[in-house]
Amino acid sequence: MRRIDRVPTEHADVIHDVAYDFYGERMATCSSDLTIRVWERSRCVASWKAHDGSIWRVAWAHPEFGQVLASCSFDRAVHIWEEPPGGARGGAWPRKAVLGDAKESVTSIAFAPRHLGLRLGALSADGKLRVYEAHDVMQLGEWSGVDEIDVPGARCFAWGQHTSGPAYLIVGFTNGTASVSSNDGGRKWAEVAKLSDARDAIQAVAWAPHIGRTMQLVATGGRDGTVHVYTLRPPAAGVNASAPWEAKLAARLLDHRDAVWRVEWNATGSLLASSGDDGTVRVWQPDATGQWRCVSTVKSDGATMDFA
Amino acid sequence: MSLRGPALAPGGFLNFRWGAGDELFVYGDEGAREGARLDGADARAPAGAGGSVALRFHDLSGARRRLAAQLHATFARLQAAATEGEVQLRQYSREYRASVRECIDGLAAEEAAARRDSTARADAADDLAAELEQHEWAECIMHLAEIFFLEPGEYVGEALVRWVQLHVVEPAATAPLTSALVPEQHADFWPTFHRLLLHGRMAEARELLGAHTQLRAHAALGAPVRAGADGEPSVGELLGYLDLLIENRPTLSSADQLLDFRGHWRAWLEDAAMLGRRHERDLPAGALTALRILRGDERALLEGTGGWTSLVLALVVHAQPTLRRSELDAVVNYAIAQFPEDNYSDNDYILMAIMLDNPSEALDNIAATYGRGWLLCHLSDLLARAGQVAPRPVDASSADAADGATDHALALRDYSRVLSATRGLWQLAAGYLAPLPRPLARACVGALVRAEPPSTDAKADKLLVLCEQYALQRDGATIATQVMLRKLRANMPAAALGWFARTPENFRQRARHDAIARALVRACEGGERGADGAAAPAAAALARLLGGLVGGPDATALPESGWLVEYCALRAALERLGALRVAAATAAPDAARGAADARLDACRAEAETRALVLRLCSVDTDAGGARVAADVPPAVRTQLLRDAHAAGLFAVARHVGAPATGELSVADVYALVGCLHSAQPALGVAHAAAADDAQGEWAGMSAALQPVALELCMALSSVILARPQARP
Repeated sequence: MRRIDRVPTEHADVIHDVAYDFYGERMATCSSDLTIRVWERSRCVASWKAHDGSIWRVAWAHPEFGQVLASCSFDRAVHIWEEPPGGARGGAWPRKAVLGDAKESVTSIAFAPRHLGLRLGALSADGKLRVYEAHDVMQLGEWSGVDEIDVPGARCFAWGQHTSGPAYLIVGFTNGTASVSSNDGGRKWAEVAKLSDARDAIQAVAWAPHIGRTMQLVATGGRDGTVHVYTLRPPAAGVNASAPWEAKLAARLLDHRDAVWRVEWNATGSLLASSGDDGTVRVWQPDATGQWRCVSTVKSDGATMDFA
Repeated sequence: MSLRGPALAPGGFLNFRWGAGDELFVYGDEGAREGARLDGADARAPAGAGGSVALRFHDLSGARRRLAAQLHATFARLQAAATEGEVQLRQYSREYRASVRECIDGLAAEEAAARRDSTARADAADDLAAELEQHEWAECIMHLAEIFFLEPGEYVGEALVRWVQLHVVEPAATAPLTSALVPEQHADFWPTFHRLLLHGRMAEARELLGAHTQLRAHAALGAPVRAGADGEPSVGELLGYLDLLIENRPTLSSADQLLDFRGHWRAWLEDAAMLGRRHERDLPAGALTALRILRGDERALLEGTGGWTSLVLALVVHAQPTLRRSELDAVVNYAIAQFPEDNYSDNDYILMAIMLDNPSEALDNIAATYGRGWLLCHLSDLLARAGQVAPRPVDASSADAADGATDHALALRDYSRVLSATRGLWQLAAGYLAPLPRPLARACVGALVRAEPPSTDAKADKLLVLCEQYALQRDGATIATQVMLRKLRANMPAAALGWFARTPENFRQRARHDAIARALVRACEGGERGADGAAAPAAAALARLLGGLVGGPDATALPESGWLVEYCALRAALERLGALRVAAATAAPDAARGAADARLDACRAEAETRALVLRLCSVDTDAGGARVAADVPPAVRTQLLRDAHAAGLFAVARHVGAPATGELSVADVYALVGCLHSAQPALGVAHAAAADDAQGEWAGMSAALQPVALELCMALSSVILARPQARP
């Protein structure tokens, strides 16, 4: 592992999320200082006040739809932003839409895989997962709600990383379970698998990019300090999309020993990273025998960051 | 590795995100640990949080990047040669090693530069030194595998000597010894001499022995070295005989020489034994030890070697020079038993597996020690081609399980991932995916092209070629769309239209891309202005746009827009038609025919317009319909309505708003032109059938016009036949 860059993030308050664009060329950060900043390497190319409350998450749309950002906030709103022609030159991106259906703070957002169109999922503290869609990518001011899923107790969600076929979602709940659901175009979501190995709330879920595998990989991170990795095997081709999947626990990773707050796969689904209250970021990978091992640890005592 | 400074907020809570190319962005985020905050509780936070670092798991730069390019070139040549017949795998292995050696030299230079550079990161030079050592070991392993698995000979002694000469660095350099006034008085003289003999480095050993003062004095007298050194020879003469023995030591390199070798070897051993027996008291102790080594005395060999690899080599060179490769395991096991296991490194286990003829275990050990990088990829490929390892299917329960995946295929895939994680190496990465089973290759190439930004037209073209090779229509459409949008934003509508034409039909017909089609039309309107500065009508603008494309560089650059050339042919046919019409009118001026000709003339232009607009707005949406309707001159609305109904463009029909009359006229001939022209063969056939039914109308044409219409239809037929079938 090699350190390649140090980025001064310049926010005046806590950074809640960082998101790379699809190609990893730009990065957006959001903060409790109510601003979003867009970076090209270490250079801030846009910065603006985006919400009236702490901004929890920021997400990039697929570049097929243009340079589009979504953000969600404690102010209960999801905002859609589009880079102005010619770039923002350090200024603000115009706001294209405000999706304000949530009754409470919107805690998580994620764009669906691009084959589903320009769709955005937004999870709010009122126990709803709303899915919005922009039917006309040239008219980003016009979004319509295509789904409102009741998910009481949900803490996190992620889209299935398929490149074709139905939409899939994994949602993590405070009761320690995670639910995998599918939707074949209608309004009804069917649960195809339930993962219930965590002993406390699931606070992060991640679905690995599907690159030639015969099965899907998902990971969950829980307040019990455990990262679980599951393999999900869909039913044979031709079977109803809502048929149950075979879910197997592939790994139980205990190194964090304290609440895990984020899990995420790299672009090829070969490395899994997690961070937790133990102040570490750990990177996991299966070895030649299929055993998952921590291949790298980043930790800090406040002044020093150590990479191993 | 450690990073000091104001990188993190006090408290040290870390968060992260993955970027492209396995880049891990780590940032301080103290407040986020409060779970209530994500649930919407009070967003209290310490001020001044921030600061972060980006880490990269795979970073191929400098010499390592050159290595990647060179390895790929050799790999690609090997792939190509393998498809044509049997290949000399050893030759390719040597090419790989030559590239690694060049990389080692480059890394050494980088390390030296880093140590000189006072502004460089403190541990940068150490990192480079570690990489340098890794690459040296990798080359050493690759060479040994080449000797054991790719070289044809049965006897490995000489090859092992070459291996040691290349990879085992003699700790005590001989130069200070040979240049000393009395070299033999130096404490390292005889130990160094013995080590050189044990490693089979005979030439260097002789050079060092030649520095012995007494041997030099004897040589200076010009006295010959007597065979057997009978009588009471001087030490110098005895050392000269020892030197002669080393010089005449027989070597075995092929089975053909075995009988001769055995005879020579026995005689040579006799000579060595005789020298030791007769002059035990006269020879220096170091020379006597050297004689024991040369005669293969196990105790002397064991005492002189410091590790199991050296002992194996010494035994093969001095004790059992006729040992076959298949018999080596006993020697290796004996050597391993002489040294405690605690001292073995990961590299030792790799070398042991190779020497014990276990290539699969060697590959497993390489994967565990060096990761799934270039060494595993290329070595497993060579060994698989040599038939030394059979590809093993991946366990179905493994996270890596994929259709047709084997350990060999995954080694290629994983190295491809390493390459694709480095900016600018995606084409090399794609090269390693070609030999994979088709479904796995397709999935991996799909991921690769999706991760690459089509930042230039040339790159987009290359990505599209890959999409075509692996039938990745959807990914190809995405790439073409991104470039098209970029062209539109850059006010380059002609280029945008060219890229639009490259998107597959199923993609183009999707409703959401109607917007893109309309944006194209809008861009054309905005981009094309008349002399008065006013926006030209969209239809005329599009006609000019297409004309420009046919004559412009885009037409040849973009294979998918090749149909525009046919369009040009059609235009030429229409012009010829016009000329014929004029000729006919001149030959037989007739009022009725003149009226028909005028009608024909008007219809011709309108049909062209209609066809162009229809093609670009071939989606059934209200917005598209309105767009088309707005562009259509009132004179051809009736015909357009019929076209629209026949083509299922109901929204277009709705917006045109004129009732279908059922009238069939000369205009129908041109409707046929329009339909065929706009690549709608089904509609064209319908019109043709209608035209057949309306023989009266056809017959009603003037005699001069009938051949003109026939000419036109023939020209169209040739255009249709040449049109790509994929276009509806």
